[in-house]
This record gives sequence, C-alpha cells and structure tokens, in this order.
Amino acid sequence: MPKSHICPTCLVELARIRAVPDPHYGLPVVVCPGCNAACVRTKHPDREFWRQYLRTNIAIRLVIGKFAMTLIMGLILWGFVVWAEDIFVDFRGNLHLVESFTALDINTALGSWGIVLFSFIMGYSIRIMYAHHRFWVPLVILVSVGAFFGTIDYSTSKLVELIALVGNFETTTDNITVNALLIRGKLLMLILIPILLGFLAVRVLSGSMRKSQSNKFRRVLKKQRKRRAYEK
Amino acid sequence: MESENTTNDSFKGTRNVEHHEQIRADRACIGCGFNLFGQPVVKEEHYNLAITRCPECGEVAAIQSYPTMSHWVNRFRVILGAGWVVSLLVAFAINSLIIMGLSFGSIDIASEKLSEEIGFAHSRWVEAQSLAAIEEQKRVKDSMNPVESDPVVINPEPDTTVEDPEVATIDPVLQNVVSGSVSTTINGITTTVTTESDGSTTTSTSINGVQTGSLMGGSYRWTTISNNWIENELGPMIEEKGGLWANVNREFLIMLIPISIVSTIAGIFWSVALLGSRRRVAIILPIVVSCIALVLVVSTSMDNSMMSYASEVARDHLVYVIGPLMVTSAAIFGLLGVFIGRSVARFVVLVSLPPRSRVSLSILWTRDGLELPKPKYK
Repeated sequence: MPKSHICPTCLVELARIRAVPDPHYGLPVVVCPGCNAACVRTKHPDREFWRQYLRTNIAIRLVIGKFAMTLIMGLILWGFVVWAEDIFVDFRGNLHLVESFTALDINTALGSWGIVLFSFIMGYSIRIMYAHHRFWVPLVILVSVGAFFGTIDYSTSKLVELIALVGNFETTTDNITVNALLIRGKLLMLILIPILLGFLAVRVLSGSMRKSQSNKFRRVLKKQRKRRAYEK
Repeated sequence: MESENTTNDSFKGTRNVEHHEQIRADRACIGCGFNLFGQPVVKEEHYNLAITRCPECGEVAAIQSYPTMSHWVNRFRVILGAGWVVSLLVAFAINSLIIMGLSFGSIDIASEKLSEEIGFAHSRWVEAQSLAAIEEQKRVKDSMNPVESDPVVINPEPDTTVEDPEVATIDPVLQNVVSGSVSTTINGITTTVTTESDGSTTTSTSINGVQTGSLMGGSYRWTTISNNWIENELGPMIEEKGGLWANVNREFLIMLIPISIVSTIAGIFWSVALLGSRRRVAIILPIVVSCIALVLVVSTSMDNSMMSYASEVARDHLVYVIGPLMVTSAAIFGLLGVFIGRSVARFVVLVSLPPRSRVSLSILWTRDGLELPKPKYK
C-alpha cells in the first residue's frame, strides 16, 4: 500500500494518484481531484537513500547469486553426464538405457532413476530462476554452461598442445577422443529430456499456484466486505 | 502551565471541526507507530492545518509533512564511500599479488633447466677445485716429509676426526687434514674427503659451513653456489650452453592460461567497479597493477645473501626476461577485460534480473550513454 499523502487544501487522500513530473521543474506533482490544487509529493531523503541502497544491494545480490547458481547448475549437469557415462555406457562406448533402468543391480537402477529425478528438479529450479525469460533462454544457458564444463578438459588439453606447438616444447596431456566427446553430447541431450519436463512442470504448477493465490485474495476481500457490512 | 493549557485548548478545538476525509493509506503515528489508516483528517481551528489524532496514544499528527533535514544520510554516504574505496584498494593489492605469484611461478618453471645446468656445472667446478687442492696438499706434504711414502694418514676408524697439527700449520688456506677425513677450503668451499674402512672414499662439500646438497632427489637445483663461481664462471657457462633463452624451460608458457583467465576476470571487475571513471581512465589500472607486480617480482629476486641455490641463481637471471613477458601478457588480458567488462556485466544483468529489478543497476547503461533496454513482453 502506498504511503499516505493528504491534499493540504481539501484533505483528500492523494496516495493512489500517480505523481507526474511537472514540465517546469520536474517535481513529482499531484493534482487534487477534489479542489484541483497542485501539491508536490515530497520524499524523505533518509528513506529514499536507504530504499535506493537496499534496492541496489538486492539487485547485486540477485545477479551474483543467479550467476553463481547457474555455474553450479552447469557443474551439476556436467556431473550428471559423467555419472550417466558411468551407468549407461559400457567400455565399448555403447549406450544401454533400458537395461540400466531395469537392471537388477540396485546401484545401477537407483543411479539411472536418480539422474532422471535430479535432472527434473534442476530443470524446475532453473526455470523458476529465469522465470522472466522465454522458455528457451534458460535452456540455452543451461546447455551452454553444461557444454562448457563438459568440454573443458578437452579444450584445455588442445590449448596446451597449441601452446606447446608454438613454444616448441613437448608436453603430455590427457588425450580425450572425439568419440568420447560425442558420447558425452548424446548423454547431455538425453539428460535434457527430464530437464525439459521440469520446465513444463513449472508452467503447470505456476498456473495452478497463481490461481490458488488469486482465489485466496478473493476470499480475503469477501471476508472484509462481510465484516464491514456487519459493522455498519 | 500556560503552554499545557494552550495545547489542551487546541485539542479541544479539533473536536468541533467538521469531519472531512479519512486517511486511506499507510501513515505511522509519530508517537507510538500505530498505523493511522482510516483515521479522520480534520482542520484545526488555530492555524487551519490538516491534522489527525492517533486513537491509541492521542498524539496529534500534522498531515502536511516536510522532509526533515538529517546529517545521517550524508554520514552514511561517507561511510559507504570510504568502505568502497578501502575494498577497492584491497582488491588492487590482491590483484597485484596474484599477478606477482603467477609470474613468479612462471619464472620458477622457466628456470628449471638453467638451474640444473648451473648446479651441474658448479658441482664439476667444485670437484675440480677439490681435486686440485688435494693434489696441492699431497705435494706440500711430500715436500715437507720426503722420506715418508704416504703423508696423508688414513684412520682406520672412519668417523673419528683427529686434527693433524702439522698440516694445519702448513698453509692457512689448506685446513683440516684429518685422519680418515681430509678437509680443504678454497674460495670458501670446504671439501671433505672421507675414506671408509673398506677403502672407498666419499666427498662432501660445504660452503661457509653450510652443507651443499649437490644431488637432492637427483636434481642439481638445490646445489649451493658460491659467489666466486657466479662472478667468474656463470657468464661464460651460460654463453657456452647457448645463451639464456636456449636454457629456458618453455613449459612456463602454459602459465599463460591461468594468467589470461585471472587478468581478464580482474579487468572485468575493474571495468565494473570503476563506474565513476571513463573507460580510457579505467584501462590505466591493469597497467598499474602489472607494473607493481613486476616491481614486486624483481625486488623479490634481488637477494644479496652470500650463498644461493642454483635455482635462485637461475631465477635471478631469468626474472628480467620472463617477468616482463608474463606481466605484459597479464596487462594485455587485463585491458581486454576492461574493454569487454561493462558489456559482459550488462549481459549478465539482462539475463539474471527481471526488468523491474534492472532499474537499480541502470548506471551500467547510463554511464556509457546508453538507454536501459525496454522489456520485451512474451
């Protein structure tokens, strides 16, 4: 609720009227609808300073927090890819999806379903975090960060090899094959399915939540109306 | 008492005034903090001012409000500004130290090969000096005792040290001819040859009383190098081995990766932190940071001690080649960070924050003469 602002001439409450900067001085002027008197909506400098400070502080914290969370989510996604590599892929590089989900070995089965569950939760979380964007923006961010972390060892080793070539010295790097990278890419695409389901869940659940909130608001208003009628 | 009466009269007066309007928003009572929502607003009779009365404490509140002048806003601004400056200075120092550490690490890697060469050459030189001293000692003893066939008496007990007074008085340079172990000192290097009971001999070297580790873990890097050798032999040795650059371990170039990452991140940070300055002023900062890091690296390498390890000697020579190279690359990547910093920050803010929250960080746009992007509705 806005802060009270009374017209000094006719005592009408002006809080709900929007203050428009006047063309001469740029002051936030409110014209009273009762008496047409113009009065300036002054803001207390102490309050404004702290309000501005808190807003900036919250904004900076949000930026840093979301940035850090995105990086962490990318790392987690990379962890899921490694985990899935361990569970779904055999030593020849073949994928065994159905066998892994229906395996009698409890570790393999739990691991497979765990990846699905946690990916779903991750998709749900990141969609909420970037709720102000379109559907594809958080997906692109997540895939980019995940792919960055997924290929960081390969790209680093290639960079070191390039430096060794330019600097004319010999060095040993972990040789990651392109085939291994392709398997990782496939697994990343597979993990994106539960993540997308998480995105959809946000869409469904947020609609129902919004509905329940508006219903609650309506109930409160109805209650207040009844109380006022009873008081009169 | 008179004032109390006046106040009471004014309160009485308000009761007779016709009820006009009600407060329809939040307004806290200045007496007790009670929300005056719904309270009637009246005009008091004395000055015709709009007032209301708190139903809880009876305090009369003037509705017409003016901003109170407070010094605390300015004080808080000063405190916050000072804190910000101090944190920037700390960040400046940390940035310089990180660049210095990375440069120092690069120099350390680059000097591995040269220090091995120095240690090895010095060890050969020390051995040659020791053998020459022993030969000289034998020759002196032979000339003093021409009848005796073997002037150096070998003690059957290897670890006992008995000083031979005859030899000690021969030459002040040649010292400690002992039974079982022979010690000679030339140019500050003391070489002790110990003969074991089975006839085998071991040689140990110390410089000014400090034992030299000629082969620590199979490496000559920790060999103690004498100043005499550095002055006379080091330059020709490096020239003989193909010059300074030929003896650099080029794996130090890999350190360009962390230096580039750290410097770029630091550049982005400075670009955003120094929003008060223009970009052309902000680019000075990575250069200053790099210069300070270089001064720190060079000053750390200036060691005037009497003895140095081979690795230290090699570092002292390479610091003037590798140090500027790494620091210059740090400055270049720092400049790159400053150049792209504000764009990166704007992108991150755009991605992270909803349009309403972006307004408080609009300075990122307005500082560069840009407009805050308008939201695109879904």
